[in-house]
Amino acid sequence: MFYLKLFINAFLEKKVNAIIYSLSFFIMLGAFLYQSEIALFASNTLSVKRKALSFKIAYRENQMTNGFEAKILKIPGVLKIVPVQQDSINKNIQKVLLKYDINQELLNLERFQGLKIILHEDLSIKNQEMVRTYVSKLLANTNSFVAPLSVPNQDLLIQTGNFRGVSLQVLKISMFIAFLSFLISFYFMLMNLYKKSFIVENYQRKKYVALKSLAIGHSPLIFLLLWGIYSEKFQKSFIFLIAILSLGFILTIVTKSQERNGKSSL
Amino acid sequence: MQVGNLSPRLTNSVHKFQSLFKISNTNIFIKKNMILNDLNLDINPADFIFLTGKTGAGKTTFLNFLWGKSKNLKISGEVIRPGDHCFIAKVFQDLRVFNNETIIENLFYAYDEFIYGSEENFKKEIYHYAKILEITKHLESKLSECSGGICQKVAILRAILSRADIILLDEPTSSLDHDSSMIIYDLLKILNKKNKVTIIWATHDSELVRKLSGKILHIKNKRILDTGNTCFI
Repeated sequence: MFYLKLFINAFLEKKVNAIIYSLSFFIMLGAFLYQSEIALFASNTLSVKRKALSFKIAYRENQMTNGFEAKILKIPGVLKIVPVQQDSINKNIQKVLLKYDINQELLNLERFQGLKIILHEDLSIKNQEMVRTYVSKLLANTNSFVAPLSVPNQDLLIQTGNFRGVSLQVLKISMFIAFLSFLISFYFMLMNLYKKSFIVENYQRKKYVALKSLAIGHSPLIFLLLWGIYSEKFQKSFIFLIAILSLGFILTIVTKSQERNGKSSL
Repeated sequence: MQVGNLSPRLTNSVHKFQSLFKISNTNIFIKKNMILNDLNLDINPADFIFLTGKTGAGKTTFLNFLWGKSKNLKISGEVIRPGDHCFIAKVFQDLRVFNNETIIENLFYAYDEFIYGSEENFKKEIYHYAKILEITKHLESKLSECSGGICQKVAILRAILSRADIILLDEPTSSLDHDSSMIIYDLLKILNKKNKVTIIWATHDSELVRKLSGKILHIKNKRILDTGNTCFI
């Protein structure tokens, strides 16, 4: 308990440093362990926010054959189909009917179903229209509506494409910054621990207090590293090797500088 | 004035040796610069030594040499040191106290469960000495709120509480008035007489040394001269 108390005392003495140390450690660790998952999440988030190339249809369900949706999915160029909510269908159809002064009651809107057909981004304009035409033909002889194509802003397409690439670079840079922050805060924490350990060694009959406190205070980290090596998450990882060497380097620098200043008996 | 006791284990080990340090034909260097040369002296258990000399004469260097934990020093010559069971505590010239901690928290760096048994016993000893040094009312205050003199008393008290066999003091009373300096001297003298603690007190204040009783080692021209004992005026 003595060494743990000393470590916690040294760690929490500078609260800002402790916060930076903890945050950067978890960011770094999380980003390192789950970088592929984070990249996928960022990619998906971006594609969700960006408006997809799509068009909507509304049709009476009882007029459609089985496998209507499967047929649409098989059309080349169709990425996916998404059901549209009833409220949205009603609203849009009402708008059209009002425009042409048609009596809504005749149509019985509640029996309409809606689908949003999302197309591949890189489909040419000609092919986009071909898909829309084919779907219209599938809906022929039924009471149905086919909305015009919703095309995302071309500039936005280019921007988001670049943005996706940039976001992955930003992820890597963030990991690097988190690692640097961790190293710097580790350095200051270590200096503080050495100062306290030096005093303890001078006034108590104890040796290697700093190393013992460091080992006990970082026992969860050491456990994590061992688990990482065992579970092969860290094996053959150049970045992991650099991280360990950097920590060892900081430890050596601090030890040597404290010895030079007569503040360490190590 | 009553003082605390050394543990019996430590007292017996100190008396085992006739000399604590036996230094023969020894030179001390810092980075190839010779600081002290041709040292020939013995330091015995229960010695009370004043180490005097001008600023920059090498008093701190000699204390560091006796302390044995400084990696900057290179030694040539024959030196016999006390074993590991002889504990040396040092009071630093720059004090090395923690200003953002309270006096009690600073003193607790000297708490060794093996020696005191419990924190309660240690606190009793703190309050006992704090009364002598007149710092009782400041014990819960942070050192940053206290004067330099109080910080110096805390640094000295920390060394006393460590129950060391040898206490090295580097300019321990530089920030203290005459009366406080005399209290420190009286306290250390009792520790020396009753508990056989070896005291080595480095100071450039020859006025103070003239008023006190102890063996004097004077540093001049890179040599240490044994000028005998002072006596009370």
